[in-house]
Amino acid sequence: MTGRKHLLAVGLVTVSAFFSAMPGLGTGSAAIAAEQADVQAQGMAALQVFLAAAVVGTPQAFDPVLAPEYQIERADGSGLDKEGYLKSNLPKFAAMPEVSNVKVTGTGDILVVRYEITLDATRNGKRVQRHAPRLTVFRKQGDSWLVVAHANFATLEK
Amino acid sequence: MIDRKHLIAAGLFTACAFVATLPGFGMGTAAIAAEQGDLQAQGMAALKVFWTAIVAGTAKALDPVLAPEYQVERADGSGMDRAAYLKSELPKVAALPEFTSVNVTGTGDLLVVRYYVTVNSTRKGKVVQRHAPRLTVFRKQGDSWLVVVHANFATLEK
Repeated sequence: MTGRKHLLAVGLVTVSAFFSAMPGLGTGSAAIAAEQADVQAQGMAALQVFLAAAVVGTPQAFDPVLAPEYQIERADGSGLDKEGYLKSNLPKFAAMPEVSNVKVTGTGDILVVRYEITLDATRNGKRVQRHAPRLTVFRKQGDSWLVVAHANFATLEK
Repeated sequence: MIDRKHLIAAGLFTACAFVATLPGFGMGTAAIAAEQGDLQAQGMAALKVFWTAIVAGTAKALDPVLAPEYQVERADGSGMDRAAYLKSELPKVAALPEFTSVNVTGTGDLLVVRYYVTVNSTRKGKVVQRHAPRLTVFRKQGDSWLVVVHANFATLEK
């Protein structure tokens, strides 16, 4: 009987050890959830700073948030590097746009943010598609997140 | 007379010293060109490795070139993270496409590549727009360049 109890105890310990080692369970699950929430929060914060510059809409506002290697590509085929972008007809948002379906991934120093924007904006006198996806990459520099690349899938009204 | 010659010599020396300090002059130009050439070459090399995996068209081929934080966004609004992308119906590309208007920027560990692709490709049985822009970001890991983000502006034939 003692042998049977011992076997049962060993079995229970083995099963517990197996399950606790599985990712997404117990303490591991909490740690992963906290890490994902942290990445999501960092992505949202970085995005807010970038979009706030677009609300101001001046080179002085964009300059400190764009990395030297920054490039943008848009659905109309227009693409620019940082220098070209700061000299271009910059977008100016009437207010902070609505951001939805935000998916953030990242390593310690890089954040990838995929999202949709709903906004009223014009570019070069044409109305920008009101609701469309964007994809933005940030890299950490000191305490700031600089924008490395921005893909804008909004089309222009013809 | 000596004073006049001395003045001319001093003036010439000052002018030469001034011109030599201008960015993009003499050795500076060569160094800048070499650095830009190197960046362009690295961008092209990273691009070829990525597109070779796309042409292979299997999860096994793409897995080692995609960073864990990889995300893709397409003009049809379909966006995915790495896990979903590798499980998805991957595009079929006949051969390594033609790359044009390639603009590469970067830091030591990041490359931003903006370019046009001319390709014969289908996705989910639909023909992909033959000539359209892409924006791809790579980060260095060891001796490899991993794909962090891919923005695909090609539309699908209706």
